[in-house]
Amino acid sequence: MNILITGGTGFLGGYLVEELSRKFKTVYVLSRQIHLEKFKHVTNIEFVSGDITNLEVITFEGKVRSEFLDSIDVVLHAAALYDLAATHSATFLQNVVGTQNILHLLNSMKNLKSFYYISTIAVGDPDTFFLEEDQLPKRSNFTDAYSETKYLAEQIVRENLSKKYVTRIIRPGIIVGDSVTGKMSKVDGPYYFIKAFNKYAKFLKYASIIPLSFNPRAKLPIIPVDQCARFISLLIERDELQVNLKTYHLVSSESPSLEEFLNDLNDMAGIKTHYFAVKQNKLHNSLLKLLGIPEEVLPFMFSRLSYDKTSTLEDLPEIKESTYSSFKHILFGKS
Amino acid sequence: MKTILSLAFAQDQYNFDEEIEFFGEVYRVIQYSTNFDVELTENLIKKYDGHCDVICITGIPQKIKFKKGFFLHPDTYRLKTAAKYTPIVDGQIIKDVYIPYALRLYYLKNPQFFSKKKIGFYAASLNIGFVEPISEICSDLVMADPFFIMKLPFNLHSAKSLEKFLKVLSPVLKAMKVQKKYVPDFDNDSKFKSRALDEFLSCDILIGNEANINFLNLSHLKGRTLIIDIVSPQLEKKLTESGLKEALVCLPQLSIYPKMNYSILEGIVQIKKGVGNVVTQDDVIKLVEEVKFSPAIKTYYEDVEEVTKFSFVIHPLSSSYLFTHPYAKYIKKYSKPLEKLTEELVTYSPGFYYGKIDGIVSEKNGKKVEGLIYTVTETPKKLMESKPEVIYKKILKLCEKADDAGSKIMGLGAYTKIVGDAGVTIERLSPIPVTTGNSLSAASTLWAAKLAVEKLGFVKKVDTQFKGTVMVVGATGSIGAVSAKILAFSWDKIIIAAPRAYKLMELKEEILKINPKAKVEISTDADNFSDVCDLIITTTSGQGKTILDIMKVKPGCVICDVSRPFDIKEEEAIKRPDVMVIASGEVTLPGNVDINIDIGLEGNIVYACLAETALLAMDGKFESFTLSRNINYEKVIEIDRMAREHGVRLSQIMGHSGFITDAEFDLCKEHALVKLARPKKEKKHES
Repeated sequence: MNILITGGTGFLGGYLVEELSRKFKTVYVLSRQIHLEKFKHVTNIEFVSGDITNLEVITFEGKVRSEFLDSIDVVLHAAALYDLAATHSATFLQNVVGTQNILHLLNSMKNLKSFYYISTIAVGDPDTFFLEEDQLPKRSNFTDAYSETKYLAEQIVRENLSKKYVTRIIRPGIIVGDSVTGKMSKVDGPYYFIKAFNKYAKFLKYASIIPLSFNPRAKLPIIPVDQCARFISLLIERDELQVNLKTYHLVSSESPSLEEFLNDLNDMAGIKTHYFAVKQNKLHNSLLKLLGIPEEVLPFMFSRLSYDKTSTLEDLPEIKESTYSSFKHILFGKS
Repeated sequence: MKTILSLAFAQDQYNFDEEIEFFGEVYRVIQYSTNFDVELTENLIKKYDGHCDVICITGIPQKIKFKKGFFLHPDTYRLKTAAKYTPIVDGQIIKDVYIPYALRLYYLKNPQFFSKKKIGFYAASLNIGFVEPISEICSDLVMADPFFIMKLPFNLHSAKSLEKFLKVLSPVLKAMKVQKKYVPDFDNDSKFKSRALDEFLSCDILIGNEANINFLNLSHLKGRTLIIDIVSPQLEKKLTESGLKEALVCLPQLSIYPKMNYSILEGIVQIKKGVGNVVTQDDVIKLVEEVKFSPAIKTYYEDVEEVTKFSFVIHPLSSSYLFTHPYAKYIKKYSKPLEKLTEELVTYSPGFYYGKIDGIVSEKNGKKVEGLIYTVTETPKKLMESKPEVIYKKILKLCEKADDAGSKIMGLGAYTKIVGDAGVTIERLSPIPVTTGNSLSAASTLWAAKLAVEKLGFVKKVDTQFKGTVMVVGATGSIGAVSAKILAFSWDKIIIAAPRAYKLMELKEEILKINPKAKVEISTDADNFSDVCDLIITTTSGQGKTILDIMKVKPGCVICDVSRPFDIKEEEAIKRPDVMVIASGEVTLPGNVDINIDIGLEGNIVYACLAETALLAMDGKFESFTLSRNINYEKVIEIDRMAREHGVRLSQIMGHSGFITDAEFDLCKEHALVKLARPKKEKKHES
């Protein structure tokens, strides 16, 4: 069994490559530059030069190409541009165009059995209450390029289901650092709060009540990166290739509400500030910006979404073990 | 395999990468919707410049040509020149050639689609291909360009003013970015509706292209008619949701490939020509001729529950009818001495809504139809006395009222269709089509004649052919000629009689042209042949002169008197109880018909001319079907077919004084049998 993985050089991708190398004969990593540094210790890894934004993703031609493509059993498309500072067109190129090109490539793989696409739970409409697993909600209002392009990409994946192979869409939550080592590659999601908190902890000690525009019951759908990679590889391993399309929500059980999360932050620093929730308004939004929390995080602060996990629990009972309380000390410890 | 990159500038969430077959070749078509993002579009062009065979852009503002010079948006220029190696097309050449052709094609086949319609353009400058053919067809144009582009509260009404507008504002327009947020959403329910939008939404037909209506609030399209260049599956879904009634799609290319659009088509033409060659109009003409593109109407929302309305004008049949109005209920008893005065007085009153006919349901398509009955106040006597202009004015007022009430066609009943030029002037000035209903009157009279002959049973019938002789007196008149032509089919022998021999000879030739097998004889005197005829139709304009001597007629004959006033007087008819004199046939409408007023007939029976109006409404044929005193053979055949399909049936045969019952038929038959037996006996005695 061979697997082709895109985005293997990314944050989640690195963990995925390591997990999958234990289970597959060869792990092909598609990337623009070939740098072996990161995976020195992995032996059954092969780098394939290619760019998902090109019309022809891989550069091989002729017989080499067809032989290579026929040898692949599973494709895991994890490449995406997740950079809040990137322009809309760059994000579009990577996420939408990239996905469409990969789908085109899949058509020429004769022995492909399954296609795994890493989406995100950000495709859910934050104005609604429930994100179902088996469908993509209708949405047209987007606050940031990332969720918009990922939404479009998932739409393309759903429209291009094939009878030759099965399609699995995986929507991980906000990926946080390693649940064991605490390693995190960049500041993102809840880390913005931790960063801001560390910065202003001294001041907060003297304030007993602070008005903050947020929804205290908003759930933070987080998942540690190592667990996420492990779950994905488990899903690939267990797949019985029965149903044509399945969608999984990879979100830790007992994900904290924003209020819980802030209280935990308080506990960490030994502060007893009460956060007074006020409605979303422009003044507070700009205040949050001052604190270093970007606007793109705002939808999560007011989201009332909860996530359907029916088929995830069915195929992946281990997700129950991934609980917020089990890794929160590491989350706050090192950032 | 050739690769086509399609960039849908004005679309959102519509991306695909598929292989399509066209003209026997397979192309890989990759589409990205860039949602008004010029930078993204440009980046994609630059990214794939040289890697694909053609780049097709849709939804960018096109080049607008004037007599002197042109207008080109800088963004369009920027995008169209972004590639160095790959040719870029935007479908403009195909649109320039095909759209005017398609519209003309449709117009020539279905002129009523455009007749008397007010036509609105969302943005004429973005649909310049539509403007020229439409302004040739219609004069009532509304171009919402100022509102669409800059939210200005006024509209343009001609191609000339559009040119002026664009010329004056071109510096401003060039500085504006092409963006969705600048465009008003055309929300019909918004509280602060712009004056321009109000005017635009009063149009009967709206014209737009896919790119510029795709992102509007489409709820304003409910129940409307749209002309559109192309409909993608995505837009089709939206249009269905919006409740749009129908759309005239210029390129219903669905049979070829649902994701095709103008620019991809042009891209394919470009690929066929090869790099370095520019697509010309000639190539497109060749393509259109080769593939035989043609426009088609697409119905999106057909509400079976929707009731189509028609109107009908009647008048009081005599002065005593003036008191049948429900309001006059209490004074009806004492009305006799008031009649004369009232008849005079009410002529000063305008016409009014009288009542309605409900529950008409077509047997063919289940369409529900409702009739609004209006009445003028003149009795027949007054109608004939007063100046036609006065009556026209009154009826036209009613036509406007009917139009406001939502009815689509107006029928003229009884004497109102005889006034003046029999509807021609009224039709010309009325906002809705007008019909006199004479075609069905003629048809139903012939039905009645046929039924009467069958009921008496003196004529042998083989299949549908009557083995007897029929005479049409006054055959050179319009109703006479039509009757003669129709009867020639079902009767063995036909005699046409009229005073002018040369006209008769012409008519004979005409009949023989339609039906070479017919046996036609000519006579200038009806009495010469009246003793051999089984059916006589008289349609003269003798004005009371005796045309036909009833005493000479064969016993058991049916005389169908279509003339008004009657040729055969009632006193004369009584002299021959063995001859059946009928006046006309009245019909019933299909469905559970409920008439809430008294129109002078019993039960559900209605006048044939009213039924014609209802039929036209059922068939959706809103045109001035019958006008003036002349009727047309083809029209009678057509309305006869329509009546049979929709379920309008003959119900009663009218005589001089009301319906003729079966008992009367039996009585007539007895008399005739006696009379037929008598001469034979006399002959025996002689021998």
